[in-house]
Amino acid sequence: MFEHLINGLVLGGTYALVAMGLTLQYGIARIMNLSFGDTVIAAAFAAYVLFTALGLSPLLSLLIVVPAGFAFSYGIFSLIMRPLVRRSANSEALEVDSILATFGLLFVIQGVLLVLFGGNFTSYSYLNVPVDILGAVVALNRLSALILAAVLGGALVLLLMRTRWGLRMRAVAISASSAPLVGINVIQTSRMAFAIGGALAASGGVVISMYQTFTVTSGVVFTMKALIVVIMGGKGSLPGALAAGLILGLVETFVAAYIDPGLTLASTYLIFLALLLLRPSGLFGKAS
Amino acid sequence: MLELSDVTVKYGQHLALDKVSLQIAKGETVVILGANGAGKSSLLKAIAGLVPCAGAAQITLNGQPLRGTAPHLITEAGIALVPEGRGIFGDMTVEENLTLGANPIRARQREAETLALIYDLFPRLQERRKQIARTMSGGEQQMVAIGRALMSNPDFLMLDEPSLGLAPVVIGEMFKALAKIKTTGVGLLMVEQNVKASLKLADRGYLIEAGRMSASAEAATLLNDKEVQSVFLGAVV
Ligand SMILES: Nc1ncnc2c1ncn2[C@@H]1O[C@H](COP(=O)(O)OP(=O)(O)O)[C@@H](O)[C@H]1O
Ligand SMILES: [Mg+2]
Repeated sequence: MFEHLINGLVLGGTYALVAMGLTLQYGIARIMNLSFGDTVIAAAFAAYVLFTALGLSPLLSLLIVVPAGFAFSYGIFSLIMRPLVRRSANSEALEVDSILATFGLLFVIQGVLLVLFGGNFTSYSYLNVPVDILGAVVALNRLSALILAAVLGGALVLLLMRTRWGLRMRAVAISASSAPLVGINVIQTSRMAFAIGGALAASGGVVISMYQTFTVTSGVVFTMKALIVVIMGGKGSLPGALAAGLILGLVETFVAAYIDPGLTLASTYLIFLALLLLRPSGLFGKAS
Repeated sequence: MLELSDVTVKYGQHLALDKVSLQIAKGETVVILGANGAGKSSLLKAIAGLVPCAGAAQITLNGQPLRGTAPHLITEAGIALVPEGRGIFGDMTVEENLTLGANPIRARQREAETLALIYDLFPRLQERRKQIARTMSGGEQQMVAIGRALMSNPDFLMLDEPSLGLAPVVIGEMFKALAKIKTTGVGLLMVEQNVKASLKLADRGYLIEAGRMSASAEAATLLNDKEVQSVFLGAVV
């Protein structure tokens, strides 16, 4: 029981971390990034290569993979998204344009990964030693994953809630049209949010590679789950993404343990549906 | 000095502003009067950089050209706008809105002083500083909007129909606050349909009809002008 709770928190923490990245990209930069999960998986493969080829521990490879995720997303925004942002008459038009553009990007990333790594399930063994926490046996890699997710997520929440930089980010999320009136450069802020979202996706990928098996095509699943978490938490809400991610991870773990592992995805949809019916604006979302 | 010459604004084929010129000095209060759809908001938006100018339009601030400058840099240059509908950050607290107002670099040094000034002007904002802005009354939200704009320490404050949708008592309070703001030496450029109150506050006024500047005179002259009174009869309070 306690063991499942910790495993659920590990999974949920990972979901929350990844979903916070998506919520930054969607809530602030107003880009619905369908290739988000593929960035996650690309980072997982990068961590795998760094570990197997260079013997670099995932904790160290974060120092390479996360900045790479930031740079990649920064570049994508400048190259593909900015022209869309410029020409879009309103945020609805931008949403449709960005969905189409990132849908294309999804296949590009997946194609490149497929050529490099093939379609097999991949995993590596890192810190795969059992630790005893109050009687429950948990793999050390999972425990590190949880701590990492908590530290990264916590730092981001603090930055957003406590600094002027975070205030600017939130201002753009709330009203991109009013932001210039207080001297905010909306394009620059959006690009930063999109890039940090990419950095979070990359860190999520490294975390996932530490304890999960993944394939080139797993990206879609992560995009979908992140999307569910974002909508459950309330569009643009970081605390919401955090709470919803944890709930999703716990439910999936308990359903797999006590009912049937085959029903995890079904249970995900069930909570998603229930929440949409009961609280359409999400856990922390404001009714508009 | 903020100077506009031949400012033209087009929305597609529609000519919203046709070669409008005006100046306002720092410390001066100027009101722009006109019926709905005359182009008043378009004029303020053109100055704020929110809509592009067409033709030979020129906008300068103390001699520096502003046309084509990005909106966030215009705020940074010292022109703040309280837009029609207020444009406050509804999901944030009053305090967060005001802090954001001081986001331009030009505002940082005097932030604490300006905040004290604004709380002095609108004590209600200090009482309610932890309240989420969108849960406030219309008049209070307008105070947040004006306070936020003042936080940027502007040389010129532009207000687009600040009295729109407010109860008469609240409008009275707001004009009193504007009179106090006027004494701080900031230039006030306001669009109003509340003709009498705004002309009493203003030094000068411009009339704008169907996108064209049709008259410009001392506020006192306009206040007693028969034509102004007849044109704006419905709008006079
Ligand atoms: N975004 C827009 N697109 C098209 N036409 C517009 C837009 N904004 C304003 N207009 C038109 O331009 C004219 C002037 O509008 P506006 O400046 O808002 O007038 P006012 O503030 O004096 O009521 C009106 O005819 C209005 O319909
Ligand atoms: Mg208007």
